[in-house]
Amino acid sequence: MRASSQSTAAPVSDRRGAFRLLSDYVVRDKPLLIKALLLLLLATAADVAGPILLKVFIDDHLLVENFELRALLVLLLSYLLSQVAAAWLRYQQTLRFCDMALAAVLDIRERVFAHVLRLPMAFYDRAITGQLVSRITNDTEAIKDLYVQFLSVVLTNVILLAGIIVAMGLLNVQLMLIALTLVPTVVAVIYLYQRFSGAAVGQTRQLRSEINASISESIAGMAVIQAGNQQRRFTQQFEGLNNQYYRARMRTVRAGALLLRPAIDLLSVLVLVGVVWGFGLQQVNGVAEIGVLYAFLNYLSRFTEPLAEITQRFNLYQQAMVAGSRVHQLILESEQQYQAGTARISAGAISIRDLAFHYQPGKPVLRGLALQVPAGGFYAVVGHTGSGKSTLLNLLLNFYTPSGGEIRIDDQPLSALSHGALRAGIGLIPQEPFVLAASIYDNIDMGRNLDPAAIERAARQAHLHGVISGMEQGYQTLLGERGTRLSTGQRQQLIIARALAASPRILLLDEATANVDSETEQVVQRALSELHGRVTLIVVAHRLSTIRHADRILVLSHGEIAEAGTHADLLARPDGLYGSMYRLQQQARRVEEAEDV
Amino acid sequence: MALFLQLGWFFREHWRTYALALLMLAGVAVLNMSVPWLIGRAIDALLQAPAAGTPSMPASHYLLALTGLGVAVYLLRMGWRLILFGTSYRLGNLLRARFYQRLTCQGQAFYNAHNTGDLMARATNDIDAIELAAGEGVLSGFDGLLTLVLVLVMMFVVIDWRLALVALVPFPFMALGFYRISSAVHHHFQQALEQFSRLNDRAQEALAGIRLVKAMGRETVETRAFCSIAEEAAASNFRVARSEALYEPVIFLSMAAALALSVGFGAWLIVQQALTVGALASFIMYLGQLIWPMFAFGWLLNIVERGSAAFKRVDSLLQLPDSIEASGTLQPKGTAIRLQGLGFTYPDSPTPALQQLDLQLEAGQVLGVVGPTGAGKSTLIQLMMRYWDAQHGVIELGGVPLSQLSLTAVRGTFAYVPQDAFLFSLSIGDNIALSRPDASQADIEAAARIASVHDDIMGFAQGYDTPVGERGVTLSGGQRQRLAIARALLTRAPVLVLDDALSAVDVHTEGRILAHLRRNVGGQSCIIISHRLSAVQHADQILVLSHGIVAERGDHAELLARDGWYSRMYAYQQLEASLDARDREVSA
Repeated sequence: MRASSQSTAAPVSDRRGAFRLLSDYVVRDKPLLIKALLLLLLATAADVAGPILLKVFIDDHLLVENFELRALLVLLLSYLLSQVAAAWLRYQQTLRFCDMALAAVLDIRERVFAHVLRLPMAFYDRAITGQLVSRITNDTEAIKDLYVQFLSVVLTNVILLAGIIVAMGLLNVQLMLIALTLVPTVVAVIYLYQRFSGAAVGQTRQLRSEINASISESIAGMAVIQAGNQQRRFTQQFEGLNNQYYRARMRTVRAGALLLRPAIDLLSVLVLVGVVWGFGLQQVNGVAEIGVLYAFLNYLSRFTEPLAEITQRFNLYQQAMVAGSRVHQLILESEQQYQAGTARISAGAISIRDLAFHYQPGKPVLRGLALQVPAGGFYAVVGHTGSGKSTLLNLLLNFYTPSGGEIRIDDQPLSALSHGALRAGIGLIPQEPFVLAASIYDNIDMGRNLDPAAIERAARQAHLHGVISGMEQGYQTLLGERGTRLSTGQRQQLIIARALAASPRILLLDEATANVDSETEQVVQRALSELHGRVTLIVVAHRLSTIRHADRILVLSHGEIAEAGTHADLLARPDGLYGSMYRLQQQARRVEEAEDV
Repeated sequence: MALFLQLGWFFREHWRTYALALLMLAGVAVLNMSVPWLIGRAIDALLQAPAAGTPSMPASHYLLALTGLGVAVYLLRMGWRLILFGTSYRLGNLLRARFYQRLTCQGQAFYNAHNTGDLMARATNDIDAIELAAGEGVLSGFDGLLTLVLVLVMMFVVIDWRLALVALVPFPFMALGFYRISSAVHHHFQQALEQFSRLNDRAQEALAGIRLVKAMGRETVETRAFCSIAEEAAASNFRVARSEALYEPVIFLSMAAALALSVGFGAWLIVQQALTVGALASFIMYLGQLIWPMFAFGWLLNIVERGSAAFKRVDSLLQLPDSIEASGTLQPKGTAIRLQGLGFTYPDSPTPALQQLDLQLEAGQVLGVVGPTGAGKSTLIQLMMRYWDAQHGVIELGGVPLSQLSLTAVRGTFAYVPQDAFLFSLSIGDNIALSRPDASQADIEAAARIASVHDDIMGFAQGYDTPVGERGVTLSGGQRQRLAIARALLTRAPVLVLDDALSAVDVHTEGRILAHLRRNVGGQSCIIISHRLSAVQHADQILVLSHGIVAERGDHAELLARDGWYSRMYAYQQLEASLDARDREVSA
């Protein structure tokens, strides 16, 4: 255990936080907890009553040959009743605890997921998606295992053990004390096992992950290995690792064989001998009743199992605590704060003053940007990768807070607008058209519960209504992997309809024509020219042909506006950046033409 | 049970160890049988003892025997565990090593057809499942059966057959109950696993598309969708738990019924003087030992089923022949390369990747291959190195057809640098010396100097010993590419292949590396695939590929003189370079 606790050691404060997070859930639903505990106590009482009834039968009836029918019937009935009751109560109690555990984990999952979605965009710049997903699913799964196991196995067994000890004590204190020596001995043996096997268990786990890493790395780099004729060397290395793994596992098996099951079984045989011997001593002194021995034999057969079960869950506890502290840390990340105001975006005029931004201090991405976009204006932004054009869109979407300057929409600061007002007022057409595996209707609605009329209007604006009406199931046609496949152009139209459905006053296009054929580009262009004047358009484009009709084109370079004007203005400039970009794209087209020859 | 037949070779090979383990198991089972019997005899001895002083001699003898028996059982149990588990782990090891060895023999066609996740699953989870079947499967099958037989013998033959007949009535119901529960648990568990993977997918999808989620204000909708899956997952888990929770009542009720029956009937027998009190005690203890065999059979069915499915998956890969037939034995004479009428189509692709390609490359010459993405440039190289076998035409290396050469000789002829330079989790020095582990430090550094990466490496605190990968430094794309070039140079293979291997390196460094290469390679042929035409302008001949066909060929000057793809692309790249320069000026 030492190795694993070392590698997974978390700060004490963290562990405490995780512990509080996990333990709070146990007492959250008090009535259910009390009910479950009550069931557990009753079940245990009914359970341990069985052997006592057995003892009464043997000592008071069998050995003295007193076979009065009524008394025997009462005894039999109470035996059957207690055992059926014990079985039923235990089943119910297990389900109650399981219910509690699953409800707790469900709540943790929902909380973490909702929380993660509300983390600011800056968090996602640092986060690795795979790790985040693992926090939400794998780590909460580990917590689930702890709850289910802890509540239904550990708790139940502790109470059962206590119940058995009490029942033994009621029957015969001296024999109970002999049996009781088993508890500290088994605990000591398990402790020894943990001490001896800890390093080997940790090493086994470590080697196992190295083996996995080695296989996956070899698969990925197989072409390199084969190109260098190094198959034999890599195979030998793998076999070395594999053999180390084998030896480490054998060490754990050896420790387990020495100290776990076989040792515990030996101990229980010794205690059995002790109990029978103790009984013999008492019998010689004429105080022992044979029925007591029967009851003890019965109890002892169920005594070791709970002990072994409890002690074997400790690994689980440690893993869950590590998982819990990771989840706890994630919950502590602060969420993005949104305003609660009722202000709405009514016209769509944008005013940007002195806008500055950096992702990392000392590396400015935007420097003192100033811009006035009238409502209904069509403004285009072009520039190299890293010129800051995507960042500008991110700031307009309120994904980040500017480090200097201000963005105002309809003369109110962007930061004063509520999340809802922003999302309703600003539409985004992203670079990658993302289609949900759902109906066309849902793909346009996107869970916003829009008016069906608005959805149809948006589809008409995107020139998609005709296509949809032609489909057998109309707006309910399923899209995605198992549904209808749309053409690239239709997909783009769908994305446009989606963005327009909420009647935004401002529409942002993020390189929507970067990777599409010219037919699809025309779809976008037609939509842009129809919206021109009605919706404020901010178009970040790679293809200059998409934006030649813009009211104003801004050429960004290293976070500043290098040139600005209409397409014609900019082309007329001698040595202009825009002119060079335009000529470059002309040349690109000539290259493309040559490809098809 | 077919699994045990399929694994027969292993069991036969290790029959001595298995026999020993099973013998020990049998010993444990037999000795365990004597525990209740001895206890019963001890009780009877105690009851008959005269009431004076210490317990009677026979009783203490029985107890002493019991203690010795306990120790013997302990030793035997330890023994079979070590042997049985050790052997099954050895099986796992063997399968893993074979699996890995097979992986190293497979060509690209194999890796195209199998994704990494699937291969990993077979190498890990599936082999674990087989191991489990060969270890615990054998254990539960053998031990369960043996215990059952012995307990029944003790009950029927040694104690009292009438009592046994009456007391065993509830056990068939227990076995049936176990079987049904175990199937239900298995079924619900599969469902729970599926729900869990849906949960994973959903979280992955939402987080990968977080920009869209935020831009559309879909946080609540996504959370609701996630919650509904989480609820379904919880419901599946609850079903698993509910099925599992049934085990206890079934055991409990059957045991209670069996106990009531045996005590009731046993009491009657005792009164009839047909049974002793001690014998009844032994009998009751035997009852408890019957739970395990009932449980073992359900458990056995499950793990054998899982192990057998796993074995099929693993074995199918172990039996798969090499995707490249390595039957050639000849060595190439020289390094001239000749291609004639070469044509190749990828499996599952309707259009050919290469068609009618002819080429002659003399030793020491430099060949440039350019063209738009998807033109077949990398395919050409992979065919020359025999990662794939071409369907049409001839490839000759040193005058011998590729298929007649030994695969090792073919691969040894080329020093291949791919675009996505793959680095292993080794030190930088070991990564460079990958193909020549015995290379001297001086050789490694010389190669790194030619690839213009020596200064970068010396910039790290540990120099050439700096580890790469998760636990080491993160290298930039350009650094990785230059390391891969150094690695290829160190092999001193006669043909150096740069497959767009300078794409992440800036123009100036590219020029420097190419100049180093021209000065140093002497006699080495060189094939350069590049998107940047500046990399091939000094080549002896340049192929322009388009849609798998040679669209143009010649040297730089000849190609520029034509108004084809090459000259247009060249003009484009010139314009681009000047625009970049201008962009820098503007900001400066």
